[in-house]
Amino acid sequence: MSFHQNKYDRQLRLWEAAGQSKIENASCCLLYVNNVGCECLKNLILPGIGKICILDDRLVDKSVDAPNFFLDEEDHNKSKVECLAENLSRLNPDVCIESKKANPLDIISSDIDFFHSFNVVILADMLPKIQLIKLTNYLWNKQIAFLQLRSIGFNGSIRVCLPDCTILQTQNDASLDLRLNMPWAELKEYSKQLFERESKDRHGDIPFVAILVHGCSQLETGNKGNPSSQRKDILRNWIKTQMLYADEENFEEALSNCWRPFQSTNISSALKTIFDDINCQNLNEQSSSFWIIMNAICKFVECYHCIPVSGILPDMKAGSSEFVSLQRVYQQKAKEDALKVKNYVQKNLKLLSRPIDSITDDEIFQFCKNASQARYIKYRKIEEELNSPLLTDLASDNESLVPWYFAFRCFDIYKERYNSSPDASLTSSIHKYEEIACEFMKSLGQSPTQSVCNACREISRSAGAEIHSVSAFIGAIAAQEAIKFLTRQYIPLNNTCLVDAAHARTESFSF
Amino acid sequence: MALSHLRKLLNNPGPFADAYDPEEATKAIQTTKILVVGAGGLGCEILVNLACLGFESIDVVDMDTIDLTNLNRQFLFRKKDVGQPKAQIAAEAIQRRMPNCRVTPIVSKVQDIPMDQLYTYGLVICGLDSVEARRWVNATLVSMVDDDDPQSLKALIDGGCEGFRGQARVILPTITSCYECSLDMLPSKKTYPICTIANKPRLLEHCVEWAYVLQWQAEQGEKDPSSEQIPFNPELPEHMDWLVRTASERAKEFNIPGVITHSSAQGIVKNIIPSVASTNAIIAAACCTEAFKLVTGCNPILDNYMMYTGDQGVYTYSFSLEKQKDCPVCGIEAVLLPVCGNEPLSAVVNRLKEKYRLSNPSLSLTPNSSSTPTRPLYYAAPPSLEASTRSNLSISMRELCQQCRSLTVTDTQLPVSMKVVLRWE
Repeated sequence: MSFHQNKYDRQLRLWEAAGQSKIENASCCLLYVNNVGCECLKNLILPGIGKICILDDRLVDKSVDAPNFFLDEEDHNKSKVECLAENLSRLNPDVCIESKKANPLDIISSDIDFFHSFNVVILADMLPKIQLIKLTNYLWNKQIAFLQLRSIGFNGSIRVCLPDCTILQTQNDASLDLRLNMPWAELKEYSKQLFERESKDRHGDIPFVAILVHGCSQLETGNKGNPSSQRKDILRNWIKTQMLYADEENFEEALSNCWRPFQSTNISSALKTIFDDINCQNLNEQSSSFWIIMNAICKFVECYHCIPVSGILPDMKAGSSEFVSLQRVYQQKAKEDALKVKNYVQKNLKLLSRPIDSITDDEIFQFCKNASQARYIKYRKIEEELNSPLLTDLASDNESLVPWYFAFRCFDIYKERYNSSPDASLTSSIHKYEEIACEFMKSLGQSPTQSVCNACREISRSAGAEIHSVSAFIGAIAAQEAIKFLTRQYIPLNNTCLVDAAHARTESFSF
Repeated sequence: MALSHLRKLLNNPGPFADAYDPEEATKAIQTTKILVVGAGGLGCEILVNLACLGFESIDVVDMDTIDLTNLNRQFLFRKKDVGQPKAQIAAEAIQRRMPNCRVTPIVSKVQDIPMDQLYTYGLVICGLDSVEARRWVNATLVSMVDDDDPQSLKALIDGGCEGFRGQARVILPTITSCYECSLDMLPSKKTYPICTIANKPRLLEHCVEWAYVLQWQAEQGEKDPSSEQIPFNPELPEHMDWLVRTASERAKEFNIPGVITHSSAQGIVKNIIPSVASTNAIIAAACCTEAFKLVTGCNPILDNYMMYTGDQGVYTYSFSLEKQKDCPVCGIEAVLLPVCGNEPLSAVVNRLKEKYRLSNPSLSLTPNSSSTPTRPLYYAAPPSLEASTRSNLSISMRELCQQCRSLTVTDTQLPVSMKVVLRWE
């Protein structure tokens, strides 16, 4: 194995070469240097992200800054971004790390196109509302991922905003669809062959799939019109009569999988969401291959009332040649279905005046194989959330961490208004924070509860200071979300995770 | 000083903390000696967090050396450090950047740390990948607890992770559920039925398993039946080359599609667990936050188990794992017995008899690890064993069991065996 394969071996086992390649071709920009931002970067650099740019105009101030493993005593009074870039670069020579000495507020005001080439932008501090909306709307329109991190004392949050979050490999397959309710001709024929073999000593080698398919074929004519529960019982009895001896494992497997021929192939709600989406229905020049292929699969479903066969077969008690041949039957069917989908894809490409080979056969086969896992996750824009966060009924759940969300919103308002963090050691500060809390809750049509007050009191303990391990926790979660987005594998957070390290708890919300 | 930026936090108790003294809290951070067990994926993260949290006295123990495959997450190590001891390089890396924090490396198994040294730590944080080592640390700390000596109670914070999942827990030995209490939560290792491996492979994994479990031995025997068998070693390139070749031939023979790579084969043989920087960072951070709260008292501590999964969104679940009454480790209170090197075994037997109202106790040395057998000292029954161990009664304790940590005592009066921790005087 190459040096590269060896170094990244443990993570390649999670997202494979395709995922790794996406990470290595990605670039990320961090706004503001603090513990939580640094920790997030560290967890992107170690797995090998392509490029990082760090944006901040401040100098290192060891008397005020939290202890930071990547900024030491020697860096005092020097540029934060330059020192950080140098120290972080030692973590992984594969990563290109740049620094830009500038105030993020200035960049957002007068040079927002600076962000246009990044895949991910991470904000490690708060921005005034106007600038936050301007930045996030820009990123949304450019389809750039945005993450906002907060870390104050024992609390914090991660807010994720991913435009066009389409994922094929969510690694989340509920149950393998073996299509035993609609066996095709080759599958029936193969199953029949296995049963008509003369040698009984290979009886135990027949895979349960063949047992079920053949059983259903045999009982078909007699069963017409019977309700499925009755047919299932009849099948079960038939299987038992076929067993040569008790505990014949492959027949036991057939019995425990007896439900499969009677399970209708429903299209999952996740797939329905994808098919119904306007991106799928109305293809245009900007459509990504995800939507073009999903549109084709949608047409396949309309025609055949099921998704393409995936071709994946789980291991089962069977002889080698029986299993391998059965696998071939499935893979052949998968290929045939994929070719039908390819037809639709090519028609789509023609209509969009795109070259026929702009979507490869391999890509189409991958889609057909993994279609049951696919997800399209719709995020709310930051602007929408700021103006009207989606709040479930608060009063009912005492355990919920929602009060912290309110406390953070008020924290941001406080900072924007007074240019400092709420500080529990100053009574004037406490009063101002409480005032804002009342204002804010009133704007939502509520009054501050005890939980909200407690949250505000807890957050103001540190007067804005970070606890390193809490920042490390939050930064790492954020980095992981960025990686899930970049690799287009696994399922990202939608859209906020609130962290309460005082009680070792987190809770996720879609605000 | 690392803690000065948290002065305000410590001075303002907040709504969730029990009363504590901010001065004492600060002093405790600066003076508490911590043992970090493991300097790998979790260990590196734990060390940095502890140093940045203001802890000034840390020992880190790890017997392993650095491997290339560590570099994607064990960020205190560089390419040039491959082959060096993890504990040593980690300690040096922290020292260089945070000179106020004294980190002492211990390059050995944690089981080799002497009891009196263990006693000096205020807190133990484990970032191990070995169940056996965890059980040892857990059992040792539980056995150390002496109700009359508050210092003998060392909190154990344990973290573990795999892929996008992990857990962190806080164990207060003899008070909360211990590691042994919840052993049944561990997943069992994946095994393949032998008939599938031997005769009816269907998947590439079956072929790999066949090659290194069955065929390696068979071929060795064929080549030279007389000489000693060389065990299969996945670290040797020649062995791995043979494995990939042999397993691939078998796959071809049975028409199993797909390709066996070195990477996939190694994964099966070494039972490799996928690991990424972010999950290690998350779990380690959770452990260190608990350490900070434990030592300062500035917020409640985790009671007592937090699970984390990150493959579908972000999800954590914290709950209180129950202490098992019949736990072999913490189910019975730890018993401390002072012993003098000079005194004969019979004196110890008599003291135990008197103090615990025993009728006729049998004593053996408690093994240090699961691989060491129990050593009998004196067996009261059956008669044949009694006869053979009787002579030990007159031998001095020092001669019989120098350096040993504990005895196992059984007696008709005891429902289960009792572990007695020896305090040598």
